Amino acid sequence: MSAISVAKKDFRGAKRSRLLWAAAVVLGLIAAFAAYVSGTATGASTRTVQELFVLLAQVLAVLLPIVALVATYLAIAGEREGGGIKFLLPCRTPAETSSSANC
Amino acid sequence: MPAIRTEGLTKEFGGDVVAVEDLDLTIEEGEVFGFLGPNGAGKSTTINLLLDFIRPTAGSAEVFGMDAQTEAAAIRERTGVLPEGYGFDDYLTGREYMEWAIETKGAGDDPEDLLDTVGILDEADRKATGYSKGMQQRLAFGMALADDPDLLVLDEPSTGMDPNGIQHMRSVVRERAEAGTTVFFSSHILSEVEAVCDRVGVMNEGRLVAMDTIAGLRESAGGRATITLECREPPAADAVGDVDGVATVTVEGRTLTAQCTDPAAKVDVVRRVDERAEIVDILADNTSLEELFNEYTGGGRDADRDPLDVDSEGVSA
Repeated sequence: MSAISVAKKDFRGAKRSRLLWAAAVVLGLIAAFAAYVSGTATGASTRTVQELFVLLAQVLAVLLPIVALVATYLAIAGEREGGGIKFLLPCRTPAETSSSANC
Repeated sequence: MPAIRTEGLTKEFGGDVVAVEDLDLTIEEGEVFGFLGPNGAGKSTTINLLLDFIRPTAGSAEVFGMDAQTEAAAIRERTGVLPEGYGFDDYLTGREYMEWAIETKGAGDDPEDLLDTVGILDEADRKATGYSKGMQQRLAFGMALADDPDLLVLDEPSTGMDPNGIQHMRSVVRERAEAGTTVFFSSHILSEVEAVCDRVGVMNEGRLVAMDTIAGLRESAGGRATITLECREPPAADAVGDVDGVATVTVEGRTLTAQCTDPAAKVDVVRRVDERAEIVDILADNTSLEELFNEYTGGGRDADRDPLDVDSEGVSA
């Protein structure tokens, strides 16, 4: 089934994408830095951990939409810009469906 | 049933740009068709119309008797495409791309075989993004061959390929054509399709300006061929004056020059002269295919500029 093979190819490509790894590393570093700062400031207690999570949620609330925006752009418009769509368009659809949206 | 048939196919962009105008094209099954034209002549637009990537403003297109719009999925199932403007933008190796192409087509090809056919088996485990343009082109060509399609659509396939690659690609195209595959081969270089195509169509500014065999095009363009023979001793002009297809013969010292109306007559000229005198050098000169191409396309985009120095084809026999 071509939808699955297209998804498999995308995942495999994404796993090797430097951009994706860079985004993950940056997020990890931000979390670690926030934990370090809040940990050394007031000492470890349930309250500081809770505060840390609130802070992290706030940071992520800003960063995640940006990452999602880039990711979704790359998923469709980027595919066209990079030319990968040229291989996707003519690929065959399963014979049992007449719609070309599957591939 | 023709492999491709278009009737009055027209595509306008934005009302004032006519990319393809009233195109009537019939390509028989098993034929290798060269689709020629300068940049922006409407070649890729025609291909996009055939594959239903864009919709025509007027007219119709059929592939294997199926309507290009209503039965696009069935058409794509039987077609292998080497597109223009593609990109290998995922971090996958050549082998993975080939495996993917085979998988999406539901084909049973061996990826190694196809990679070997296009000559990149040794580089198969490198990332396709890092390939040179020519190698990417080979890979894309190989992907188009997967599942042994009934119709191969090649959009400027030799772009970026080295001469060996081009020659090899041509021989693969020939092989596939002999096995019954119809090949739609677009190019902006006339000499490139000469060796491989049964028939060519020339596009210019969205219109089909000529459609014939290469020999037919040459003839209708009033092409002349010249052959110059240098001999060890002065040859006699009357030896070749009566050969069919020879218009004029001139002898200057040890050099004989014959103007032929039929390019095939050159061989007879050589034979005749060789019977009487020892030939030391042969220079044949056909109406260059580039000149022919310019004639049909009115110089293409460069019509108003200084004409390029057109090399005549020097063929040493």
